[in-house]
Amino acid sequence: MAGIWRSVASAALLIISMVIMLDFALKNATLQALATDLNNWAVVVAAFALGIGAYSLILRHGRMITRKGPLWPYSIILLVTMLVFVVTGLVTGSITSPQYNWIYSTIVMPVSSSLYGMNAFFIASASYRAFKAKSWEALVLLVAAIFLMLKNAPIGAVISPILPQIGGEIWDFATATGMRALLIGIGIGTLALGLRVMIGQEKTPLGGAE
Amino acid sequence: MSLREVLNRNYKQVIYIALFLSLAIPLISPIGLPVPVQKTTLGVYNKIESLKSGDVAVIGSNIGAAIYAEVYPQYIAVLEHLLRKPGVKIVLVGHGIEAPIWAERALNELNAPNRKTYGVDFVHLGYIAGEEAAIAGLCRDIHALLKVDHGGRPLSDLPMMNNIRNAKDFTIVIDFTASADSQYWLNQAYASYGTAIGFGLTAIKVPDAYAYYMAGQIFGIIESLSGAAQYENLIHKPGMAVTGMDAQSLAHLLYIALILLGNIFIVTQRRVK
Amino acid sequence: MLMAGKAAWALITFVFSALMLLMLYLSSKKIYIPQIREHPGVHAISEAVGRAAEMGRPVSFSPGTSSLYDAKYAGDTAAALTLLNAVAREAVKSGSKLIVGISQPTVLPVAQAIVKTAYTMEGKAEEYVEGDTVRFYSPDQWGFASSYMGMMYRERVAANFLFGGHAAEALILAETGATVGAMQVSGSTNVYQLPMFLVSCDYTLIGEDQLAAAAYLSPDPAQKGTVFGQDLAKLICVVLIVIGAILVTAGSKILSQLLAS
Repeated sequence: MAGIWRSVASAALLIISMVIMLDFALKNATLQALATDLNNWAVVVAAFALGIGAYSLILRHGRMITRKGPLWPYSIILLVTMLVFVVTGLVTGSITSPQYNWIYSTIVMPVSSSLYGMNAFFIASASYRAFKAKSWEALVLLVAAIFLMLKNAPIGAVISPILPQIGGEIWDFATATGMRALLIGIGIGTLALGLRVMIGQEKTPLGGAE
Repeated sequence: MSLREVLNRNYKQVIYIALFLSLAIPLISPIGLPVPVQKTTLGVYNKIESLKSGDVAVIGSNIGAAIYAEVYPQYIAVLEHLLRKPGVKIVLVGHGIEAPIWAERALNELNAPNRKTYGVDFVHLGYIAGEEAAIAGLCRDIHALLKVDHGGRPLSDLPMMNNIRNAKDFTIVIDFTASADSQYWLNQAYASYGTAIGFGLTAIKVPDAYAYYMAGQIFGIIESLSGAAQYENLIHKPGMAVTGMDAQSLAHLLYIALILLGNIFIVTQRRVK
Repeated sequence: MLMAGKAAWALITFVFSALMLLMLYLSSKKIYIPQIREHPGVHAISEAVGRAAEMGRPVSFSPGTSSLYDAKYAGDTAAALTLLNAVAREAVKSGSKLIVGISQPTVLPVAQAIVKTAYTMEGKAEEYVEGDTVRFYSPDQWGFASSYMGMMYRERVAANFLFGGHAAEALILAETGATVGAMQVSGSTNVYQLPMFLVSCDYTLIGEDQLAAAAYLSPDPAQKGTVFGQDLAKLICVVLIVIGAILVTAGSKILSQLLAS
């Protein structure tokens, strides 16, 4: 049964992929209409996937509470918070209502922005601890980083106009060049993965572990 | 106890306090450093300045609580600039679940409902799930993808949407994000329809987009908080980004000092040995 | 029929796809299995796990915060899971406790199956603890980051592996690992986080090095064929860049016009 399901799923995946790719290259009204419909189905499926994500979260944390798993009181907090948000959104009818905005500003914003803001402190400690010129390559990295920081912050231009100019040259010729190489590699890798999925070589998206 | 001994023992505490002070002091007592405008920010500004009555600007966003400090000031500044352009149609669309919250905040903060007419001058389509599929759907046929806007109003009741069907009708797209949806707009709107694309990004995503800027595939990038400060100065409406620039400058100087200090200690340690 | 400007795209996509499919076929049928060079980071895996065993402290592994369906980082996640297999087997052989932190629900069953298999193959199936060896933390980026950080502090891990698609939490995880004194090996194709890994970790597999290391360690010859096919495609890109640079310098824009969509 699982084998038949995988074969059907693989065949559907291949056909749908070919339709989308051919629509990109060819000018054909029928193909375009079909590709548009398939694309819109993907949007609908993605929307339902959000709901499934919430359901699996409830299931998992519900199990942790009933089995008194590690840190199970936090699972209660998670589910209660989730319930508060869902009920508020449903009762007020919108996630942009004043009530929803209030709980969003009170809970989500401070927590998320604080965790993201911790990056600044970790970069500071990493700058002192790890940014050492132990080799010529590390020295080049270090010098480039200093010039780029002086380019990005207004203080660089205040100290001397030449500093952001040097940073700009490094940015234009070193950073962009390196990025292009990485982007080409990533693009080719994405194509390779797409091909493997399309021909059924990559089983994990269809639920199989290798 | 020497500075080196203090740093060796409690370096994290010392560094964190120093960073906190370098951020807090300029915010309380601003220095007023000038903010030079970069060519990438000017690219976005000039493009919006060139828009004429009837042109359509699609503003995508994936702003969330984590990145709002960097990207929301850019969003506000660009939206303010667009609202000043007579006759330009603005379509707001979200690619993240928190995006509609920030879009509504921005519209209220800029008093958009009283300055322009909803449905005639601007429309908020809300969050569309599906990442690249959502953007592809917008570029192919908005009316096939969506029947209502964020507030549940049918698109057929919004006069400006009668003339906006797909990416061929978009004059420009500006996406504010820290995620991959900037790439998705390039893949779907630029590659297929040649739509002019610009970005408002967090600092960490800028190198990625800069390769496309150098190739001429995007017309501009608003780079992080400094880009937002530059844009606020360009539209002569300094806001939260400009006030943050002094703090950013001092923090950058602190990072450079820490890097140099760490290396100086290494060199002197080697000499002692 | 073919839209103007798409001819070059179609030709390049066809040539690249044909090359990769050919190499995939040749390697999966074992007609030709390309040799992948060993990256120093691969040795570092053994070194880190060995260090953890000597210190009697656990090994932690994170395959990233991206799912197997992510448009950009699915390949990263797949490579991370292949590396998880190698790390798990090393950890079990050396007698170290392994803790795998999972963010995405889609990755969880795959990771569980891989780790369970590793324990079974090494004859220590009874040491695998359901729900403890492979731990699901949170699909939210920051929920996962704070959980994984807490685990590293509580367990005092001696070796930390950060592979797959990590986003902004990369630096926080890497710095926490450095704070607890763990030897860290990382890898990602996420170009925004590579600088963070390079600064904070002992070894970093940059970009495709991670995919190549996964292919090197994987028993599946098709992975090696895929990597080689990608390298052939990159070689064609290099040739096009060189020819394009020469033509543009000589004043001809024919190649850039041909390739423009």
